[in-house]
Parts: sequence; C-alpha cells; structure tokens
Amino acid sequence: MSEVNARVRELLALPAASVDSDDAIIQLPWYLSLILGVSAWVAGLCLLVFVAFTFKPDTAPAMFVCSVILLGAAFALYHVGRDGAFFSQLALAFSIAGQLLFVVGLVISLERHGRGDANIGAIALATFVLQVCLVFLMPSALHRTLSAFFACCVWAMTIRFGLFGEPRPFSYRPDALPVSLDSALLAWALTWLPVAGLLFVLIRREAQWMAKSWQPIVRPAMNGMLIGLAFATLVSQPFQLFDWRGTHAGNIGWLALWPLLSAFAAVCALTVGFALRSRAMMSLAIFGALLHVSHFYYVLGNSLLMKSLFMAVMGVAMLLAAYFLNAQDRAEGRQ
Amino acid sequence: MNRRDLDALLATAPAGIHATQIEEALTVSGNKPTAHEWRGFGVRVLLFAGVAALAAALIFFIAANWQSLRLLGRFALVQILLLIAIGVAWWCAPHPAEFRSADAADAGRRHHLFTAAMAFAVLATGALFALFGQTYQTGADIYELFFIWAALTLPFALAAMSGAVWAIWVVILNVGMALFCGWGESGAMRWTLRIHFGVQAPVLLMLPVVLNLAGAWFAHRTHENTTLHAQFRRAAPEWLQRGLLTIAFLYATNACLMVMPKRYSGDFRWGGDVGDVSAVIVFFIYFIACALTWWITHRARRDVYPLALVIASAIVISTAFIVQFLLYRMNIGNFFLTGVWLIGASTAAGFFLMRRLREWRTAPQGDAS
Repeated sequence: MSEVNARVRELLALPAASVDSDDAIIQLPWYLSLILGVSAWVAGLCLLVFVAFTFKPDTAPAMFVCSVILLGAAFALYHVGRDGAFFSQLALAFSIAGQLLFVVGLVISLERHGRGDANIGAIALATFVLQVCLVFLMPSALHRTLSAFFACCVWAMTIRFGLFGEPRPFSYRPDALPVSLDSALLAWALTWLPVAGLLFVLIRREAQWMAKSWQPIVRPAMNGMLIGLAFATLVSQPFQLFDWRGTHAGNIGWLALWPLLSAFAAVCALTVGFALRSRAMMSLAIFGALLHVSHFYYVLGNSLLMKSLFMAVMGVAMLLAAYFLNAQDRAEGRQ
Repeated sequence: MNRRDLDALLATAPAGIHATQIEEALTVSGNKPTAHEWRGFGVRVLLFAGVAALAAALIFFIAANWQSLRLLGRFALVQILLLIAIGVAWWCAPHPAEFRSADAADAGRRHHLFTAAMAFAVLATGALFALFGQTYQTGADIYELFFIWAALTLPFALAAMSGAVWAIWVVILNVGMALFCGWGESGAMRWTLRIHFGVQAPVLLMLPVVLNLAGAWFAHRTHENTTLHAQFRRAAPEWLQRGLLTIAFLYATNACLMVMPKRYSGDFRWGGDVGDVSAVIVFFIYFIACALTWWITHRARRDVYPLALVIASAIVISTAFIVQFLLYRMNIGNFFLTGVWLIGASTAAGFFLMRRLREWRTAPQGDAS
C-alpha cells in the first residue's frame, strides 16, 4: 500500500487496507463513457422512432404522457440495475427518447396555441428546467454529465434567442439589426458567467460538499458544465453551425465577438480541468478553444483586419504576461 | 490517488468526516495543485495561447490584406516571422544531453519556449505556403501543398522532440492524406491511380491507416524500449500514440463504410459502388490492423484505449451493416432491433474492457524488450 494511500486513510479514520487496495478502485475510463454515451444516443433515436410509429402520439398531451412514461421507466431501470451496464444503457436510451418527445410535444403545443413559428427561447427554457431536474433525479453519472451539458446548451439558447430573436431556418434574418457591443457582452456574460461562477464556487468549496457526500451529483454535473463552457458559442448558435462560411448571414454586429469570448471561456474550462487534475477535460478545453478561434475567422460582423489586430494584441499581451509570471516564479524560487 | 479513488474511499468512511479532513486528504493525495504548479500552468497556458493567437493573427492578416499588399511585402512579412521563430528556438534550444537525461523530469521554461517557437515555425510555414499557393497559381492540388508543408516542417518536428509539435505535424500530414484520398476535389494523382491502376478511394484510405498505425507503433516502442524511451519520451507521449491510433481507425472505419454491401433491386452487392475487389482489400487490411492492434495491446498489457478503438470501430461497421441489411424490408421493428443491437454491443464492450482494465492494473505488465 502506498504512503499516500496510508496517509489518506489515516486522515479519514479508515482502517489500514490490504496490499492490493491501491489497485482495487478502478472507475470507468472517459473513452468508455464516450462509447457508451454515443451508443445510447443512437439507440435512443431508434427507440424514439419505434415508439412514435408503434403508439403514434400525434398530439402534445399524448407526447407528454409518453415522455413521462419513458423517463419514469428510465428512473426505474437505473434503480433496478444499479451496477449493470446493460440496464443503465437501456435507461439512458429511454431517457433520451423521453426528453426528445418532451421537446417535440412542446413545439406542437406552442404551435397549436397560436404562437406561429416555434418559440425557441421558451422551448429552450422549459428544456433547461427539465435538464436541471434530471441532474438531481437520475442516479447515473453519465446521465448527470449529459444533462448538465445539455442544460448549458439550452440555457445559452434561451439567452441567445430570447434576447436577439430567432433566425430563419439555418440563416439569419437579413433585415435584422446588427447587435451592439453592450448587448453582445451582456448576453454572453448572462449565459456563461453563471456557469463559470458555479464551477468556481464548487471547486473552492469542494471539501464541504464532499463531506456531505454530494459527489454522485456534483462531480458529473461539474464535468457536464465544464464541457459546456469549453464549447460555449458553438452550442449556443446551433443554426450558425450550418452557416460556417457566412454566405447567408447579414451583419451580426458585435455577436461576432462571441467566438473569441468563448475561446476565453474554453481557457477557463482548461483552468478548471487543471484544478481537477483531469487531462481529458483539459484536452477537450484545448480543442474547444481552437474550434472557437476557427469560428471567429468565419463569423461576419468585424473585418478580418480588426480580428487580426485583436488576436495580435491578445497574443503579445499573453506572451508578456507569461514572461513576467515566469520571472516572478524564478524570483520566488531563488528566495 | 485521483479524485475518483478518493470518492470511493469516502464512501466507506464512517459518518461525521469533517471538511478540514477532506481538504487535507485532497492536498496529501496531490489532487490540489500547489501555488508553484499553478504558476507553472499559468506560464504554459499563456505561452501557448499567445503563440496560437499570434499564429491566428498572422493568418487573419494575410487573408485580410493579400489584395492590397505587394508581392514582396507579403512574402517578406511571413518569412520574417518565420525567421524570428527559428531564431528564438535557436536561442533557447536545450542541450542535446538534456533530452536524453532520465532525470530531466521538468523540461523547464526554456524548453517550453523552445517548443512554442518550433510550433509557431511549423504554423508560419503553413501560412507561407498558403500565401505561395494563392499568389502563384501553379495548378498544384491542395493536398500537394499539405504534403510539401509536412516535408519542410519535418526537421522542425525532429528538432523540437515535443509531443505537441509532432501532433501539429501529424495533423498537417493527415489533412494532406485526407485530401489526397478524396476529401474535396479529385486530384490528378488520384484520377491516375483510379483510371490506370483501378485503385478506388476506399483502398487509398488504407494508406493513411498504415502510416498512422506505424507512427503509433513507434510511439508505443518508446515506452517498451529503454534506449528509445530515454531519447524519445518527450516526442512520443502516450496521448500522441492514442491520437495516431484514433486517426488510423477513423480512416479505416470510413473506408469500411464506403465498401459496405448495398442492395440493388433486391440483390445484395458487396463493395457497394466500388466493386468486390476493393471491398476485399479494404476489409483484409482492416482486419490485419485490428488483429495487430489487439495483439500488441495484449502483449503490453498497459493501456486499454486501443482495444476500445477496435471495438468502437467494429460496432460502427456492424451497425451500418445491419441498417443496410434491414433497410430492404423496411418495417418498424428494424429500428427497435438496431437500438437493441447497439445497446447490447456497447454493454458487452463495456464489460470486456473494464475486465481487461482491472486485470492489467493488478497484474504485472508485459515484457519490455
């Protein structure tokens, strides 16, 4: 048994363990979680099609009923097959199918009540509430991570479409006014500062919530929020993902700054990943930051020259900061 | 001991554990970065983010001003930046013995600056080639420019001996290979291979599979062989080996999907649109790649990730086959069957991989020849 293990057991008032205890604790690796998550997604879509064609829920109330049944079945399966991979995967597939039915039911319900085009902001807000509830209710780490991540996505969509209106399908309204700098910054801050702030508080008070045995809820939720923070803008402007080259978009004004702000958010996610000693999360954050910089290149609203100036000033500032921080570190090291 | 291990231990701890005890346990187990580690992290992040920002600024600037800049000015600008990067790398290049020293656990700040400068030099070379390609319409295909970019920056990657710089170089080479194999417009070489030698796109895709697997095997050998490990451990970290394997299996899976059997008027035709021979070649190379990866991983008994890649690839291919096979008789039960197959396959994969993980964590590792 290692010295670290022995010291930790002593601190937690645990009895000394056997020689093999260091190797007995093995958790699901991140890549296996990814395989299982993607499989569950696709399986959930297949099951949704099966449920839709078998039971044919064509009204909003019928869809809500099917959604509750599927979510309830998922909850029951998680409790029945607590340690079984098969039951947890089936539960995840049922839950995903139930959540998709809930969203479609909302769309139909809003259309039938004379709202015209689907109100994306309202749907996103309702879905956000659902995802937050599922983080607490569903007893699965993978499900909680996915729910936290989706909660970040739909929260971003709530702010984005609630404040700036909805685009025509897969493009901006060409008659929409460009967004001002104040509005763009405020909207971005409203979207992502709460997520970053919550992560910061959870890291600072980690020992407190660990003492209350909240790890099963908080750890997966932190992972989901961290992934959301790393891929911020890309998930908050889903229709623009199809407009990567900006061929249809009008001038979106200072919203063009969002990718750069989101690259900064990805660096914050990288910092959180470092604080949690998670290389997987740090890798995702780095990938997210690079994606955001690429997105910044294509987004209209500022000239390429202005963007180039932004990046150059930022690059020089960061290198200077690195130099001074390094010098300070060396000076303290000599002391 | 990571956080997951700590959570598992806490689950068995008696009630009433105080937050201060847990705080100390987090510190003792190394889960809380120290102030020195935070500063080191800050320096590395600022350094690499600064380099990436400057590289992006260079690319944006070239794109914005290429119309108005004169020919000489354009090339001079990029070449000066490239020379500055090389100059910085030369100034803070570490002594060759430092790379081979087994005790050099921390590369130091000069190593980080050296690595960042070499990475910038690789990216600046690409910017120079982009400028060259836009200015002189040589008729060269885009993949040729990527290959030349990779060839000219190979000395930078060899000099840097850094996993990060090698990762950039690998991405450049693989983008070139993807373009060569059919992503985007057809090239003269690919047309020649197809018309004169009958080499279809899926078969061409197996070339990057072989190259990436060879790179992964070499990276794997640096962990097995003490001499190679001492020389190349910084250039071939485990994450780079995993990355090479991932790219190889992405290509291989894509190639297999392209030669998936399809139904034509009730007949089930292997090879789809590209023919039986191409399908046989692709699947033969794919199975060899899977078998070799499986065997080497079981021999090393160190990392389960390669097995996860093989299994994930097999699940994707088998699911696509089932969907193709079931599509002919379209009924609603097919969706249920596909969903159940996915769940069953992924669950079985999870059981198998976790079992291997437990066995290899507790047993001695394979021979390190």
